[in-house]
Amino acid sequence: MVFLYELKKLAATPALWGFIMLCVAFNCFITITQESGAGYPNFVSSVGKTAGTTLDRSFQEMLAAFPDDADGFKAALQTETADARDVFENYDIIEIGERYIGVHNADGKIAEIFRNKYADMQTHVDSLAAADESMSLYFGGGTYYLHQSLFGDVFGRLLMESMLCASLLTLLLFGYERSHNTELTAYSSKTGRRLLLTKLSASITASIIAFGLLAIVSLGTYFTLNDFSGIWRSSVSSGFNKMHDLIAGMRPFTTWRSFTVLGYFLACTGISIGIVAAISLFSAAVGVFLRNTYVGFMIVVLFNALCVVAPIAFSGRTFIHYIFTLSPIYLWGLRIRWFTDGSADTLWKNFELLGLAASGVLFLILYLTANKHFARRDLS
Amino acid sequence: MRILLLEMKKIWRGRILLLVALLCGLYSVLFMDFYVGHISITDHPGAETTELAGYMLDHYGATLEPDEFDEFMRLRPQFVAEANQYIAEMPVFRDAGIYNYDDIVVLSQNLERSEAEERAYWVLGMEQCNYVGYRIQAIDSIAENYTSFGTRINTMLYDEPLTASEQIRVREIVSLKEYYSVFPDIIEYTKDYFKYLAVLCVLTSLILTSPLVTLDRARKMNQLQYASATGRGILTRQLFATLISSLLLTLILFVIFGLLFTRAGTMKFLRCDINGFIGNSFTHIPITYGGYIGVLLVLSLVAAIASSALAFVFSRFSDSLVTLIFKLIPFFVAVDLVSVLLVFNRPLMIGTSNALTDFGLYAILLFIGVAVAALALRRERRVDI
Amino acid sequence: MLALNNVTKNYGKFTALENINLEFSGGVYALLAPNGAGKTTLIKMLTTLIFPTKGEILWNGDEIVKLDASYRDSIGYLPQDFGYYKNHSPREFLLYMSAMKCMDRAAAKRRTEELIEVVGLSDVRDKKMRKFSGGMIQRVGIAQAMLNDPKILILDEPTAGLDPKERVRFRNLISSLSKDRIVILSTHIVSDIETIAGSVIMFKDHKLLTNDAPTAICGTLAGKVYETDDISAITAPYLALTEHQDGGRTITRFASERDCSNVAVSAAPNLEDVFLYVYRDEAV
Repeated sequence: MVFLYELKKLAATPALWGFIMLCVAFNCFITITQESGAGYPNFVSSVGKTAGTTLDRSFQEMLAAFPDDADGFKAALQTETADARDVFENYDIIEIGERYIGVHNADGKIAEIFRNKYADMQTHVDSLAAADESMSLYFGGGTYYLHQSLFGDVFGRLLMESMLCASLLTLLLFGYERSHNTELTAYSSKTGRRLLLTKLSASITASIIAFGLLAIVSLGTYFTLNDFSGIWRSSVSSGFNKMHDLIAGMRPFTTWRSFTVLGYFLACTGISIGIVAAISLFSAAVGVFLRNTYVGFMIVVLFNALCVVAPIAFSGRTFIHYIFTLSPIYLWGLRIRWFTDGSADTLWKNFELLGLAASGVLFLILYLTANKHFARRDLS
Repeated sequence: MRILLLEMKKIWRGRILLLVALLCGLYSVLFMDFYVGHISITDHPGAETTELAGYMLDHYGATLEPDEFDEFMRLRPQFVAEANQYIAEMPVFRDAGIYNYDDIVVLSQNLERSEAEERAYWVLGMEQCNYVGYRIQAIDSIAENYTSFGTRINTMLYDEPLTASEQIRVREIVSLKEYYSVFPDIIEYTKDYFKYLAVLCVLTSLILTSPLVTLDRARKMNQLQYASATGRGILTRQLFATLISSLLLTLILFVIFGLLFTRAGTMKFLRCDINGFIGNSFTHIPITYGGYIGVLLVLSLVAAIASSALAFVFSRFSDSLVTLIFKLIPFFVAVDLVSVLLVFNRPLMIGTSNALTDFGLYAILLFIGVAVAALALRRERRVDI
Repeated sequence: MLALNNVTKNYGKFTALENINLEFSGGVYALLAPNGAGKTTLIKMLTTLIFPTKGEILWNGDEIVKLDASYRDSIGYLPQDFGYYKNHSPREFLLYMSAMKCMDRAAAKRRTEELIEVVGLSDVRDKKMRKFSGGMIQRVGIAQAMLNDPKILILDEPTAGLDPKERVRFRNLISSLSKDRIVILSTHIVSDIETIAGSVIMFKDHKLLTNDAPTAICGTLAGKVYETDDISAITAPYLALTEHQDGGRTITRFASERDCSNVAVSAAPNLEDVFLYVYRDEAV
């Protein structure tokens, strides 16, 4: 019951709604104004619905049966798919790993972890090759652009806005009694200081709801303009999909497990929700420690900035460098590489899950410490 | 005056200043250091070009006349001799079958190099060869730019969609020999550095000044203030305290980040006209590098003060600091979009900007900021508390 | 029974209360002391908002901090500066507070309606509290304190800032709520205490000075309080207490250790006299 009342406090805050609405308007504006050349991907999606997403003889036959179009989309797709080959066949990802090791002068344990990571990935690459995983349609020649635009740009904005929203609403809730001068009444009630736990669960719930609201409208707008319905079952490791970094250049998009585009989308949504919850948890810890919400928000911002700056400061690629790459803000920065080997930017496999777990545990410890401290703090 | 000072004292609180300082440090590492480093250290042969521009400035003054150019080009044989010495001494060249700089020139035209050739080709530009390879590239590029400036301008006139006034201006650069300026091609880095400084000025001004009124209202101090002899005039003083604080903070940041920018080693070009032959950026008006930086700083100052004025209004209508932040974030993003995408997108540059986008938007922002703040103050005179 | 055993509270080097021993078993207890004497500190300790530096507070023999929620379920508290949500109506606020007190929904609704009637806010039960007067807010405050039908009702300066009519009304309300429970009332308005308090607890120099019935406390000044219209005639050492006008004359009420009945009229001491006499050296 108290949980619902805590949610109600947030729901009755016009500034929060204003913020969410502005974010939604901003996302929709960007999506609409940046939308260009969706004609081809939408055509590919319509082909995917009819011909399936596996690039085999049947696909080519069904594509050939499509009527010719004035834009030349069909011809372009025929050319692209006819040339398609299994990019994982003889793909030596261990050699890519060695390049990362070489450029960063990694040695000792770090080089060993890198080598193990890429040896494991090689095994998976071989299985992808055996399954012809890359012979999948996705968006054909438009894949790289659309994959980057959805999982890089749209998710990037969505997640950044959700993190800000999560942090602010959490700090708002944890500072609510103080700002309304109801601390004494609230903490002397039967619920007492356990109210903080209720506030935490309400904050995390509200953060996820805020993410959901932002996602539904922003992604809804995006999917209305860019038709994904025909390619959801396509493999995200399609030969048309690439990942890019300065050391290895363009190379196949390789994930630790086989994902369809829909599966990958859901997995990324899951990680995003996890990051939002982690930021809420961290903000809650800060909100309990610091009674000034303004300073609290600054601390949250500074902590995240530090997590970005620290790897730059520890440019020698030490363990400390890589530990900072597991922070939520760094995970946000690496969102386009979630569930892949992560290139040279991360050391461990499944860095997104590892980072989320590590951040979750760290922030939970911080929160519990703050809670313990608060349980014996004099309130005046 | 006393009230103004007391209000400023409320704004300049130690804890917030500490956080602002930390933020500036992190922000600087994240966004600004890169540009300083690229001008002076990591961008090759840009760094060598800048170094040679400095040499020209030291030896021939802010402009390079044709006879001075001939003299300057005598450096090239020296560089080649230096390169030949490295080539003779280092086995890496011998292993690749390279015995003098002419072999390197031939190699540069060959796209299918062996591993040994590839290594040798790049070694000449590295520190162990005192970057002599890049120095030769830089001097060749300078010579090319100096001798073919007229052709470049003609191409520009025909290829780029310039307005009539811009075409006149481009011809003026040639006829007035403005292009004799030895100014290196560092405008992009400079502009980007000061663009991020402008964003930092806005951000820190908002952080420092915006809580003033919200905190007073949260503590119900506004009731005491309004009931005092000063009455609602306190808000006018608080607005002035906000604007002055924003101005002061921005000036402090100018000093700090101006000093940090000197690490790039470009301050010696302050008196050089930026429409020089080395670069590709031409301005609507004749302007020196120092003048250009001055323009960027004025734009930053206007942005910071206008933002503070608008934030003052937001703070008046915020019950708590968190609701204030909810309003400030979109506002900050909007100001940054105007700054980064429009105003600081090559300000004053021919082909990419005009006077409206350079100064008009910020003038409008400043006007809106001060006007809205004034309206809020006027409204406050009759508001029931 | 609520008992304080050797309770001390320090804030750094400052001692707010020192070695306090008290027992509360039923009825209205008034904490009477000047500002800063430690009344609010004691109340906050009784409500677990702050914790004793030394000593223990027991409720029916158990330490209240260890009892945690079960102890707080027994108390009702109205803070000195009662905070509320301006955008809530009294009904909404009371329902919210009953949730905080872990009351079940049906009981909370019933109790909320009852208390709104008791405190006389029926007409405004669904109006936002934003424009309520101080007296109305205090009535919401006492209603929230009574929601869980507490065994211990703790009221910190409940009548401060109220007009005389509201104060009398509030006093009567407290009096009616004091049956079968401990009411601990902090105030320095002595007229409130004289009317409703069964015991008065006074602190001096951050230590317990007395814990007794008002009449007994007043009795400590018996024979020492006088009134005169010519204070200059008093030659014995005295402490001027109060002045009032009577038929154009200024009557001075004073206390003296010596017999002044020959030059002044002996008066029955009241709590105000005791208060002024006890705290004569302190800024009140």
